[in-house]
Amino acid sequence: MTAIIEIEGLRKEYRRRRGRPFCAVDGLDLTVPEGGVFGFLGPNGSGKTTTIRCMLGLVSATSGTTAVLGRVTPGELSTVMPNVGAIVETPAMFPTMTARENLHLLGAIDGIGRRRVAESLDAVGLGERADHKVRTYSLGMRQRLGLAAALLKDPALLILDEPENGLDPAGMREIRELLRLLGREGRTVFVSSHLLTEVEQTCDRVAILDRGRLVLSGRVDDVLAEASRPSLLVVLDDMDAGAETLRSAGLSVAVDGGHLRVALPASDAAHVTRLLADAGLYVSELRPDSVSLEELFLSITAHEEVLS
Amino acid sequence: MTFLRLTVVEMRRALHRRLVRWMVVIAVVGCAVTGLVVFLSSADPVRFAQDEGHPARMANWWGSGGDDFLTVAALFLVVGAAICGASVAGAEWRAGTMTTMLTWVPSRVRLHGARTCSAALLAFVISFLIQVLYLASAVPAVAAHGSTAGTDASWWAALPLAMLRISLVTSLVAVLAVSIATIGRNTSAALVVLAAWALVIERLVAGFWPRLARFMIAENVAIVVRWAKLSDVKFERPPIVALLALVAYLATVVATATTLFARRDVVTT
Repeated sequence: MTAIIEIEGLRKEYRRRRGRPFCAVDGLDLTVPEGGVFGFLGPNGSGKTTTIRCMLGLVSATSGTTAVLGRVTPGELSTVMPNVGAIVETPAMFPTMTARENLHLLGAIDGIGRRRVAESLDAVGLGERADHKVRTYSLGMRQRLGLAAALLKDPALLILDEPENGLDPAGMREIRELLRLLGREGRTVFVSSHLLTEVEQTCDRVAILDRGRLVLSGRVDDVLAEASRPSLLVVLDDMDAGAETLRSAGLSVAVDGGHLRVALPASDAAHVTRLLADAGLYVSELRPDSVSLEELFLSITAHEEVLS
Repeated sequence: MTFLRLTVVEMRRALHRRLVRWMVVIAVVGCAVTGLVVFLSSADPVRFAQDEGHPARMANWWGSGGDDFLTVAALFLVVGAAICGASVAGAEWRAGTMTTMLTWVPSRVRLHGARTCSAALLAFVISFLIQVLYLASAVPAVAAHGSTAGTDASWWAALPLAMLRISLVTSLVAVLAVSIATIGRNTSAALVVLAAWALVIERLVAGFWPRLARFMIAENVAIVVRWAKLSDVKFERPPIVALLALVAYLATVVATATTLFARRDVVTT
């Protein structure tokens, strides 16, 4: 699988007027494969934005290398940037100009015409407000405008730093669907966020960063499956009788809150229902015990905090 | 992305700046008011006869002395160029559009070069057009009440050259302001530095060490604009040397700004 972004041993220290330098990114290794939506997660101050700034040449790395679209950055950024659309934090535009004028000016740098500007504005749902001054825009609309600017180049790679900041639920949903669509089109969308439910619904792969270090990386399904305990959660009227029945069949059962936790994989759910039905007990709820990305994220970052 | 295209984009961005537009509007209104004042003040024949330096006498437009009509305009143009130049660079940092620009133009040297060139070109063209408008505003007074006495062929040849030199100086000042605002990443700081340098440091140096005055920016600007030796100073400096000194100073500041811009982290939006 071709790597679109490759980061090796990236370290970034910021000097402070007093005291030791602050290490924002601490030896990060990361590979982002081509295509799909890649979520780059981490709590505030974990180094997500600094990593993106290093990739885009906005800050210089203290050590380590970054490569985007197979080219080492920042040295070869001029070669790759025509194929990269990026938003870094809240995108800023001229407030006294309209969205369309702002995009025309940006597009003119790469010779992008009016038609593409209109298409980008429509893609993010700003078509009707395109001729309003940016100073009248809400934060969410500015985010959309930033996304439109990133889409303007028709890029192979989109690097988006918290694109859902300031969006209302409907806006989040629209952007989520847009990102999914862009990923399905064969582009690579690298999106940093701390909105975990959004990431879980949008991304194919994730990497979790904490205190400047990579703590987990992989396909969302694999990461969650690995983190999940292989057990089934069962709810029925007579919990004690149910537990007794299952234990007598040799299964490991624990009464956990309002349900029974049976130590079996999801594929053995039929076996559990059969045992209970044979004993005259009927299941009102049966589901595999799954872990959400949010739970996983919180457990990892809390663990890291304890270690540190 | 060619350098020329980027320079044109930078010029369009600069012209979209509200401050730049307001400065142009103020200049145009100032020209109109000046024209009106010149016309009305030349209407009284007695007072007009007593005022030898009145701009309704066309020969006073240029070459009549240190306070001729065009030199007064030059002072305002230089101040305007400093404000607009500082704003073009400083406001990018304040508005946070620098990060957005750098995701489109990753070569900072190229971006700063284009910005510098665009500021120089815009300042040159705008200041020349404003001078034309400014002089044109006095034409009705000349036609109705004044005279063209003393405006021979050599005067007509000297006038556009003087206008071009004023435009050149305006252009150099705009580039200086862009560079200082790039170093300080702030419009106000750049203007304070420029004002402190021109109005305090240079005046103190020229006052206490008159022999060093020939190295001062203001003196060299005055020599280049007049393209003649200054009458009220204790040093001699040929105009071409003054021009070269200004270019050398500017090249140093531009090189410093470009180097710092290329190397420093961009950590704010």
